[in-house]
Amino acid sequence: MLEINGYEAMAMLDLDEAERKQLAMHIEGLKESFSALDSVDTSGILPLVSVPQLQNVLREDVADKMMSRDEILKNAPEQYDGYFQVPGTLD
Amino acid sequence: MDYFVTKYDTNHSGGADCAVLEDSIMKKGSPVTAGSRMLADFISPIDATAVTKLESAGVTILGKMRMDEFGVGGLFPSLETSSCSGAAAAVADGVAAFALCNDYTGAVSLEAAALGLYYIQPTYGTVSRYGLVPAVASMDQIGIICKSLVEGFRALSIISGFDDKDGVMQAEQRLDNDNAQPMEHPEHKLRIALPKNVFSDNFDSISSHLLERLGDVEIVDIELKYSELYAPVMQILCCAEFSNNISRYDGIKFGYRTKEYTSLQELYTKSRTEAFGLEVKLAALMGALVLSQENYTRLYDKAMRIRRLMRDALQFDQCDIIAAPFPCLSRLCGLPAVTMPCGGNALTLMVAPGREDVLNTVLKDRKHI
Amino acid sequence: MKYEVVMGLEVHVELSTQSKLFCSCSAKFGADPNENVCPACSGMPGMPAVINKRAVELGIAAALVTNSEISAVMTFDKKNYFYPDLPTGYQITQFFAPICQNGWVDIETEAGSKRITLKQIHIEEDAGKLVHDPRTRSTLVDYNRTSVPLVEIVSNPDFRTADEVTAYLDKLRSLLSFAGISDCKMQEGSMRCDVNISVREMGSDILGTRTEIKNMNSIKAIARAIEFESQRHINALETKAEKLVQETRRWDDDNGMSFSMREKEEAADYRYFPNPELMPVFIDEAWIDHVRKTLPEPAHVRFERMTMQLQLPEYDSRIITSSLNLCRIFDAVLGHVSKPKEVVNWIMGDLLSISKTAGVSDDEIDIDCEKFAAVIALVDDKIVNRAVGKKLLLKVYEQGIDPKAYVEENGLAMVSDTRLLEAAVQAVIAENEKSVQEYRGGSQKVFGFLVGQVMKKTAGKADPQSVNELLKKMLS
Repeated sequence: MLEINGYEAMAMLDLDEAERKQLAMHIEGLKESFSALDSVDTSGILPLVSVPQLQNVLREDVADKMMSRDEILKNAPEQYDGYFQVPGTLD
Repeated sequence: MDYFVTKYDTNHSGGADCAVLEDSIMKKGSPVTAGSRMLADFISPIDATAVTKLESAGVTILGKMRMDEFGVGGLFPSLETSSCSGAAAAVADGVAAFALCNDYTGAVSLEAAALGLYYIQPTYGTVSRYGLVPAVASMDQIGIICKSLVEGFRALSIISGFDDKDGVMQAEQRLDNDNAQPMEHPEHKLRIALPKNVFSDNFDSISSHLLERLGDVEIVDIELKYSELYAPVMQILCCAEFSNNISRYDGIKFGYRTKEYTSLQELYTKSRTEAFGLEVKLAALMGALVLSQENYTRLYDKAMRIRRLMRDALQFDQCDIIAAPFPCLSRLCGLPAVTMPCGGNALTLMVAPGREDVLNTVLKDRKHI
Repeated sequence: MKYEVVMGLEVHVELSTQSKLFCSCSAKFGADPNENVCPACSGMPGMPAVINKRAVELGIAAALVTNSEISAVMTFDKKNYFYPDLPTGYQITQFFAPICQNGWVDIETEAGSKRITLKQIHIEEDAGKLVHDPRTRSTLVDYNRTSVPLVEIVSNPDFRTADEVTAYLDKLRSLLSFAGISDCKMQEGSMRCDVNISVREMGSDILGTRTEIKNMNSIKAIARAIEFESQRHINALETKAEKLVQETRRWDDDNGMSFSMREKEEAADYRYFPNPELMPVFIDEAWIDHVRKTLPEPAHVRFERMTMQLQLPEYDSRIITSSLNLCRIFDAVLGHVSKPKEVVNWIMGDLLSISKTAGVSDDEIDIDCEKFAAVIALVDDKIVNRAVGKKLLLKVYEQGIDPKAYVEENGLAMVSDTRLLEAAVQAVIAENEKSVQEYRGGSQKVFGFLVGQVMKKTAGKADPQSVNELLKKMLS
């Protein structure tokens, strides 16, 4: 079975054994199907990150307050004194 | 089937001049879940530009429709999870004249066609993504599910156009699809490419249906190169971008947070593992895989290069429309497209970027095939 | 055995924009937690990134002042990692095509001058701030700083001594703050520096094991950290008691030691990839020229002008050209009083002592230059004496008084009536017989005392020079 613990860590997931087994099988299958790409010669071809002919819309440097702190914190699972709160990172 | 996740006006009977939204499009102050447990309690902080435009055009928005979690399921046919677009079902039942939806995989388009509906995919970058829950940035694009293309293209005229709140947009002004004029072809008839290599044995039936529907057109025979790689390239690019986009869901600022945790690490992993469904997990893991140092060059970088080859292989100098049995090529290349039912199959007609007018004039006011 | 220390620097500098890099929240330092935050910079879905044009222009400016080659096309990329100070789970940075490469900065140390070469400068967004709350053993997260634009200036491993590092940081700070690119305040975190350090035997061309030290918040702390870390490397090489590993270490300035940051030890896979949400940014010559025109005269050019053309002392010129604000004040005052030496003396001797007492940095001195010039003119025209002028300047600085009107209202003009002055001197001579005798007996010390008495009698309004002369005349 394909070892997927490393990808789990990168994706911040912690699967149970059944799910891990199921997904590892799919990932293995997908990975195999990707070998089809190897046959294409892409030397000299530049990567296409996104569809071209588009331009960035640059913004003028003007500050404006869109939202109050209360609105921003409204969706927070835990907050304290105007901050978002998480378990200690230094512990 | 209850297609609604959120209903704005329970007394409204719906119908003409009414629209529904896939639950990835935001209406300020109301929930937006994108079909995920992760966002079960998330309240939209903003109005999507498309929503603002519809409302100021007098369109009534009835509510938000059920969707696959972040719309990602369409990428993995092997998982055999049944896709269920509430938006398509609602339009099929006549609840609303049209629905807005971000069908970056093409799965909703196929579902809509199976229900006898059209899916209009606008040119990439012509409808603002402000207020759309992002999934795959290079393909995210709000499109329209409709029963009538007249209604559909009218809606497209309303929602498309430049928006300085979206950092990347087409420079052109709003597409005036409402007043598209019939095309004139002094030199040649409308040329439709039906690439034999992408149709299976239903080629003859589809071409005869298409000819019947469109009348005096010329069928062009071109080959769609690299078509066998559409699926893997889509999967690689989509998983990479998707996995990155959903890393914002960590249980810290908003969204689902696991009930019990003793460390930051546990807060992260438990929140994400408990809230995400199988398809999302698969996409997240695949994204990590294709972007990892080990695989970046062979998979992600390679897929981007092949994407360029695919785009460059489009032969719009030899045809006006390319027809294909799947919509994914339009997503990979940012092409405007209409996916529709055609003799019991789904058919996607694609045109060059910005040429929605070709589809509009050819297909408008005509009956289903 | 002789050893050589090899160092490269990564300097992060926050750009002086009004708003953040990808959203329009204020980029100002010092707001209450999470006051400058919107859905975009707190990681919520639905708000596409929109590039701040000014940030790109300040990036171009940073490239210009460091003699870098500006890319015709730059891209933004994404770096993936999970940490609470990074609300999106990715940092938008420049990995594949940074804004510029191959720059250089010349530095001066006691050992002479040296050219430090730069690998690249890239634009990126800053992370948020974490505050550890010992009471609840939790971490509190503030996203005000999230997405504030930064440039990271990456040098080649050209440094050999802490002196060179210090000189380079001073030079960078001067170049960047002078051009208005950043205020470069290490205390507020708008300038941060990581040092990559390795030690090898003198003459060897193989680099030793490299460690990266972080978390120094002053130039002095950087010098201390380099001293400690290079010694640690040398000890490890000599005694083999400790095995050096390539790692990131945190500097603890209170204890004067560096500590391994264990969580960073595992080589993280950041999965960099081109940001598909943003298109490449094209930087053409016209844009670069436009930015070049907005740059102030470079500090070293101005320094030359001040010392050569205006014949000002090198020391004074160096102080003035260390701060764009001081240059502006100098120029503005000089526009009213065309005596460069006088103006410099007033800035150096008086204004800077006032601002220092008030705890205001050179870049933040805020004074009405027309009124400043009026004070100088009042002294120059002998309307008031120098001491009164000094007090007037303080009043201008603190209360913005109109010096001329203030002098009139408070009767501060010098006593210029000779008869009045003579009367005062006579009275002092009469009242201080003992001192007068001592003076006549040869003691110069008491002369100052007698001058003081006369000044006191005239309520400080006499011209001290006239008092001197008159007193001498009348005592002889």
